[in-house]
Amino acid sequence: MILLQLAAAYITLLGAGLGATLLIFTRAARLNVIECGCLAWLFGTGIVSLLLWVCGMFASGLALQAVVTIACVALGLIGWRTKQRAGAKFALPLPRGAIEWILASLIVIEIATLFFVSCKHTLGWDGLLVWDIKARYAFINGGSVPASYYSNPGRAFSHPEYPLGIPFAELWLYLWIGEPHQFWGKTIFPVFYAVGAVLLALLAARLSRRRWIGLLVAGLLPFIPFLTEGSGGVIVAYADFPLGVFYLTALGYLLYSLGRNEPHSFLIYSSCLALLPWVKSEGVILWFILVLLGLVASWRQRKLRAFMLILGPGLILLGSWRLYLKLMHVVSASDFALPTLQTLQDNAGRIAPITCVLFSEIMKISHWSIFWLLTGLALAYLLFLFRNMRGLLLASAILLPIIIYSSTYLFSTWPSYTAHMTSSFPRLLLHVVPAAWLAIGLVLPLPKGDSLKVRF
Amino acid sequence: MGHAVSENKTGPIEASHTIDNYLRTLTGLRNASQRLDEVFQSLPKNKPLIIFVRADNPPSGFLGMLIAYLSWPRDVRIVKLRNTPVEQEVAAIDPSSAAGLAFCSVSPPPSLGKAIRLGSNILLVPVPEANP
Repeated sequence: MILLQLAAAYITLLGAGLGATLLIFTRAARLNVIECGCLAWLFGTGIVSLLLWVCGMFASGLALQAVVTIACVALGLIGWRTKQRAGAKFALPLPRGAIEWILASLIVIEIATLFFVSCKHTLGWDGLLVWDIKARYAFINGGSVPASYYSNPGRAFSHPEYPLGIPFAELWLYLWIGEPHQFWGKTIFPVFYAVGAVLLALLAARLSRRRWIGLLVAGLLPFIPFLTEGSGGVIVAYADFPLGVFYLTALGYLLYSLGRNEPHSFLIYSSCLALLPWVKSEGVILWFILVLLGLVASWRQRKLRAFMLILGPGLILLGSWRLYLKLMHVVSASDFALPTLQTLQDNAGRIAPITCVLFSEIMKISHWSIFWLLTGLALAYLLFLFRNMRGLLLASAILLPIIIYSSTYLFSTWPSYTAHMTSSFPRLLLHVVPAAWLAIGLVLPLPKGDSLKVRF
Repeated sequence: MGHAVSENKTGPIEASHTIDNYLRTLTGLRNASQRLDEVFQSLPKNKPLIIFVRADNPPSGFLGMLIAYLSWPRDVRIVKLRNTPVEQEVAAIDPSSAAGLAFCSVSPPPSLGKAIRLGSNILLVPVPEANP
């Protein structure tokens, strides 16, 4: 019985996401079924969590579940009818040749292994005490996080100020199952891995124009020890890898939209962009970075008006969440001081130790193997040998988060800011890991330049 | 990934799968979430639970958070013991303002009387409700 309930939760979530995906692909004649499935998951988790948050202010229990279910089914039907009217056809691209089949099989085996390993492990510290706690309390309260949770200083350790994208995706499963079930709730995380790996393969193949490259980088993804075994990795249910998947998707479609007159790529970029701050607080930083990169890309393509429009959803979501937290009198853990010029001046002596910790972390073989070495080589190639718009945007999308994340420790309030950095920085690096694999994939064919060359 | 594949075993497929695992490791208590829930239900309602943990001991702090997680919807207050003795922190609490005092890897002052032992590292001292 529980499996049927779980299936219903997944189907409704994917139905809503598929509806949104099909609406985005309105003008496409041919739809890649794998791509649609992956995007359906990302949009589905975003839509369901947002619906639960908004509708949870007015309804609770079965009524809330019914309203969200009806909205999911309706969105799915609208998307499907739009696709039928447009006469678009689904297509399943199969690997060609022995190498592609071997690499595709490897990815499938890796995804199955991640599911298996995920079932063997418990939720990690954050998985339980930051994400599951919100889903559990919301479930007990009929579908919305109680106001007293936000204002209770005794539970500030669980970061009540963190957004609800991930916990409310778990909550959706709990509502269908009928209890806050830590084992089944955790299943969303290997799904994020599967979606991330497949989207990485798709985007790297499209951007490099070689399918085997996409399959190769996606196949190499789990060979980063910290991603599969680390304390912030996929199997312990942290939000960092899912955030990395949203970031990869937004960035990948932004790069793909360069020089192409396909509105759907830009729409996918804008949709994932809006969801970034809803997945994790650091998503706000990634949002600003992708807005900056989108602005540059739009300015060069003379699409500034369209760009200004796509900022709306993200800004509304950010503003609404901040306002909601203010109204709830949220008590948050003060890990960072307010970033003022005075604090920066006072803590300038931290710059060298922070840089040392940064380099010592990325050189840690037990966490990253040779991943950052490969990334460094790819970035050097993109920045110095193959300077074009796409390469510059991609390199910035990898370097800027690392620089900004490192800089935040200048304002750390921990007694030892290096201990603070050592404990949380590796997880933050996971946000850019899929995007860095994309960069590695792009330089693998050793391209010599194309029509998107930047004039200096 | 080989290490992750070989360690642990699948299941049990239970709702409190994770928290029971952690509590069993830290306290030796089986079905701990259910047991703790029963004990918390017996405490006076509408009053907070005060949890004492050792600031220099991460397992103690983690245990305190697990208790806070399980004791919902009751308000909690976590007191981190640094250099001050536990007696001094306990003395600063108004008994009528708390439902109970939970000590995680901390020995409660003998003056508090009999405590309920929950596994090897949790001691709970219920505060009796004052008669009107």
